[in-house]
Amino acid sequence: MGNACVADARDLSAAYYNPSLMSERKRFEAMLGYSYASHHLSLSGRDSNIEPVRGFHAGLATAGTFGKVPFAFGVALHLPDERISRVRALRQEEPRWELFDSRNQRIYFASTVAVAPLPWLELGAGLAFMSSTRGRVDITGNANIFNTSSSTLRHEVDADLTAVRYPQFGVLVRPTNKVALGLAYRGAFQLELDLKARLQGDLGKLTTAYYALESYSVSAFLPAQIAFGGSWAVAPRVRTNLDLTYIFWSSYVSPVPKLAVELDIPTPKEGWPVGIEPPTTPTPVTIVPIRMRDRIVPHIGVEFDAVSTPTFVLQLRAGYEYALTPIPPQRGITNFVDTTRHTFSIGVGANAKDWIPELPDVKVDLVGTYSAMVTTTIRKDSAADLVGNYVAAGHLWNMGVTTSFGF
Amino acid sequence: MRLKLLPVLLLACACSTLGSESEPRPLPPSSGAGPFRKLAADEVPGVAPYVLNSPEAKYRSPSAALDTQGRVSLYAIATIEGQDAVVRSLASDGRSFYGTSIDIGRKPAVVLAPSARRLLSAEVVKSAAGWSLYTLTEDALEVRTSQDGKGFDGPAMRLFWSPTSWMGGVESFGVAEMGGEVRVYLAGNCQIGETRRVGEELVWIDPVSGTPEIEPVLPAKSGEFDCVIDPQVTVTETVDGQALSKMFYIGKTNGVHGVGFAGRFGSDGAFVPNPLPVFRSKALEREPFVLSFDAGALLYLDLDRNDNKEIYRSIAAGTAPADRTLPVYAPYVVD
Repeated sequence: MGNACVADARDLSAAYYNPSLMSERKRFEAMLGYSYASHHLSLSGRDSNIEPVRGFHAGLATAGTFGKVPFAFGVALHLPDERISRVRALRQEEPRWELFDSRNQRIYFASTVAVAPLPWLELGAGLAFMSSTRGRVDITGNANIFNTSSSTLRHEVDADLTAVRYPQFGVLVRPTNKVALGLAYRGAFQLELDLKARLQGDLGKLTTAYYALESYSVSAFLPAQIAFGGSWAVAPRVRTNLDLTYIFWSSYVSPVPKLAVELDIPTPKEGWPVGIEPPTTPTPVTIVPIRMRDRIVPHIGVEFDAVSTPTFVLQLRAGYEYALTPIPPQRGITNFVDTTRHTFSIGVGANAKDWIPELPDVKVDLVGTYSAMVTTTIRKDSAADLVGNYVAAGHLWNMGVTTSFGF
Repeated sequence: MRLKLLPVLLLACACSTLGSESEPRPLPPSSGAGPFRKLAADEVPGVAPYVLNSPEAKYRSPSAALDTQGRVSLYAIATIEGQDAVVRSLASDGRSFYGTSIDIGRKPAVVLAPSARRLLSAEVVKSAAGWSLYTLTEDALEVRTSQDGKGFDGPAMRLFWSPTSWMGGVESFGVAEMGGEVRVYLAGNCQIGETRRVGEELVWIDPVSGTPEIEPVLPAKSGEFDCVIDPQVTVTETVDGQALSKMFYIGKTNGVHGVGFAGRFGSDGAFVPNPLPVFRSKALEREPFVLSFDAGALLYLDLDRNDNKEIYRSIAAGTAPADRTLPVYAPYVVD
């Protein structure tokens, strides 16, 4: 449906699209699915080796009434099956696909509660949790600079995955039984990468060395979003959706690490041996602001009930999304790469209910999306740029299957 | 009854796969201009980062070109029995030249015989018409030609140019083919100017039209340097079809040398320097020469080598991208 679901998310994906829609759950439901996103992105014809993002998603929801007010509570989980968290800090000059390079390989967990105080009004809220990384590395001992394999060094590593949370809210209004209007707010989150490294010891009995490095960076940032959308049953078996999502990209925090380095290597009494050059403290880096621009992303979708019987419904879906890149042209020393993209999606859903009384109702949804990145030449203002001009191009595809059970 | 099936569904969540090692990041786009790092042990025979070194020959002023088999011909000035000559060595990987500290019983071949005149700088240029050897002495810039690059002992053509107000004697030079003509870059008084070769004459090109005087294409104050010498210029094309002139040079500040990089779009106008050096070794680098090779670039230059007995000029090499690990050096090749 081209992600046009703010007013029309009819399964546990409502936890993301619009938490208020969770109030439409009328019984205990469970969902289990798997998705696989493949990135085929290149810079000047050379594959950028962006890893696929794949993993399980699951959800549970239960419903009831509070007084006469229907409510529902749900949880949703995304569990990557390749890595549970991945971070990478690169120099700002190094070309990278800013929005795709290791961004989504993290555990996601969300809990949602929703109520329907009036027949035409639904309200929902939730909290989403992601994992962040902190770590420390200590190296002490003796480094033999003439025969490195004879060095005796001790290492200590201490790393934490800590949780960060951000809020989600949603409201849905049904002015008629054919029309629904939804509004959702998704809070911003940033995952910080905080690393400290310390190296201390003797250098080949010549002198001592002390090196301390502190690195702080934001390894992932998703800006706040406000999504407004409508769903309209244009015919008894046809529904169309239109969403507009305002994304506050201008608040994006540069992923470039801030470094603090301390280096102390006293010169040996006899001076440095021939061929040995002591390192010098790296020059502090001036971080260039990324200056992303806010964007409105339109989504449209259509769903058609190809088969509709009391015990079986087969739905066909299609959608489109246009995402204008929020990253300005990279004409200077930075190389945060992204291009505008067109995303097309198709899907099919099969819903069987009350076939066999002993078995739960089953709904199976298959979805496939294809995103075409608009081929873009990145041109540098300076002919002395060390990266130079290059071409960004590629496509993405994503496939997913979700099975829902109603008990 | 229906809820009894729930544990079965939850167990299905356990069917996950294990992660694998990340693939290394591919080489990012690069203009092939560095930053360079020194070649490391296992990347050269002998002592890294030297590719041509001898206390007797004192190799200096390197230049290089690919032959028809894709091998690198490395040329350098050498001192032979007290006189200056130009020699040539060969390597399939751009690193394993005979003439390093390992004695294999073979020395680089002489392509310009020793003579009493002192050679300040030399550069070999390969073009569709053949090979040309430009040499700078204290009073002349000469050019000799060859069909195969293996010998330049024919008659020399002396090139001349009119004086400018800012350049005294020429200390070093670089040569490039650009738009069907030969451009010669002359360095003197810490600045670099551009000329067009017309027969035996080098005609100055003013990078700023309308000025009464010929201006340098790279002034003394470039990047973090106060003095520039030793230009090497190549012309390439950007991915979107723009001509790009690249100049590598030696910059000096307070007696410390570094390799600088400057560029310009097209074939005319002043060069824009990159603010930072692309190579620095604290060994009085001179005469950088960059060769595009094997999806990267090799930097040859001469610098002081201290072997604990004496200090003498040697040819060292660097590579870009700097985070690329090169394969172990290849066996020696001979013609």
